[in-house]
Parts: sequence; C-alpha cells; structure tokens
Amino acid sequence: MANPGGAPQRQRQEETQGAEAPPREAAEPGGEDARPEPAYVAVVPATDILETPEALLVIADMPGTDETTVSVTLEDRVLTLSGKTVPEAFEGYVLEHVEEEVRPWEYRRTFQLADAIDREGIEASVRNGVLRLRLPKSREARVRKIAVKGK
Amino acid sequence: MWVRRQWEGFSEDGDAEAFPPANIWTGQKDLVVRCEVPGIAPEALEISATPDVLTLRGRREERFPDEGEEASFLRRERWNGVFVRALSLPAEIDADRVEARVSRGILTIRASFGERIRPRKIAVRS
Repeated sequence: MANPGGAPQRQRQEETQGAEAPPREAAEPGGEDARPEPAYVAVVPATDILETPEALLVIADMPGTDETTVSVTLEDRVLTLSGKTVPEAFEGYVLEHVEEEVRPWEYRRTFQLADAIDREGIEASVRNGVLRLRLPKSREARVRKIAVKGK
Repeated sequence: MWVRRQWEGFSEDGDAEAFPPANIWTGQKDLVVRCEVPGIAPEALEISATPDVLTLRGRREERFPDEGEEASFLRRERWNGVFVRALSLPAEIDADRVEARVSRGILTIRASFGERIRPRKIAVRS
C-alpha cells in the first residue's frame, strides 16, 4: 500500500524563520447581516514554508476554500492565513462513516517571519484548495553572500 | 471546540491506509463519498469501482521551477507523493453508475446502488 512520502525536514532556522506566532484575537464578526454566521470550528492547515535567496514561499492546504473565502494579512512581520469553508450538507442522507469534520470550519494559522517583506510584490493564489504565497524579501533582507577568506 | 490537525491522518503509526480521510453518506438510491484532495488536479486522480469497494489513487508532487535550485524547506508538513485508498462501501453500488467531481480540493463521488440492493424497510414485529 503506497504511503504519502515527505518526512518533515527540520532546519535549524525553523525556530526563527517561519516560526508560529500565537494567534491574534479574532475580530468579532460585526455588520448588519441578519443571518447569523455559523459557528466555525478552528482547523490548523498543514503548511510548507520554503526560502530562496529572494523570497519566502508559503503553501497551505485549505481544501474547500477558494480566492473569495481566503484572507491573508501581514502586519509587523506576522503573517496570518485564514479561510472559511462550509462543507456540503447532503440533505436526506445518513452519515454512515465519518473521518473528517462535517461542521463549518475555518483554517487559521499565524507565522512570525524573520525577514522584512516587500509588500508590493506579494503574490497569492488559491487553486484546488491550496493557498500559495510568494513573499519577496525586501531589499535589506536579501541574503548577501559573505566572502570567506582562507588563511 | 474540536481542533483537527489535518496532517495527523498520515502519521507513521499504521494509519497511512486511512488517507485521505473520507466521509460516506447513504441515501435512498445512492451513496456519496467526500474526501479532501487539496492540490490534486482531476487528471491526477484515479477512481475505480467494484460493487463493494471504491479505490482512490492520487498523486501530488510539488515543484518550484520558477525558484531554481536554491529553495530550501524551513517547514514541511504537507504530504507529497502518491496515495492509494480502498474504501469498503456500506452497500453494494452499481459500478457503471459512479460520478466523481473535484472542486476546491474536495472530491465528491456519487454512486447509485445496485438495482437489487435498494435498501428496504423491514417491518419489526413485536
């Protein structure tokens, strides 16, 4: 039976770069909407973070979301990803076998970024329920090669 | 409040066969299977059916062609590779009448019950 691969690779920089930040207080849903919003269960999305000399790449599995239900904020180097989904309800059907959540849920996760980001260059897309971000590092944060001199 | 960490489904403790997680609903005439397949395009999914079992195969491989050779992982949690899952069904289906669609990374399969196996109400006598 095939298993999905990908043993997690822990890099030493992981403690500072891409470290999880404590979640911020969720804003109270306000507004004039007469219909009450369903209560959303909180779900932490599996996320990959990669670094290149130029940018950080953040990829998060958020099945059930698309570009209209996902939001990304970056404030003081804290990156917050969130996305809501309401799973399809099959009226008149009996749930025979359950392995995953049936209530509406919200993906939510925050990361502390070590590098300053050039906000104007941020690219974000959602495709097949996967959020992909490219966060270009600001000029000052780009890795500079350090010449190592021998004896 | 139940917080579910999505990647626990493929830990090393033998749970790998239950990936991807699936829910099954049964109705009067058909059943519905729903499972999460984020990042997998329809052409990377294979579904085959017998009257008792639905077999799902899929593959997902991340590549970063635009970033060259210098991308390194700081955090790696998402699964990568292939999965195969054989789902035993609670009732016999007609393997010729199965429909599958993928939307937003969610696979929904509808399978009509085999003609002779429509659930029948059984009167219980006291």
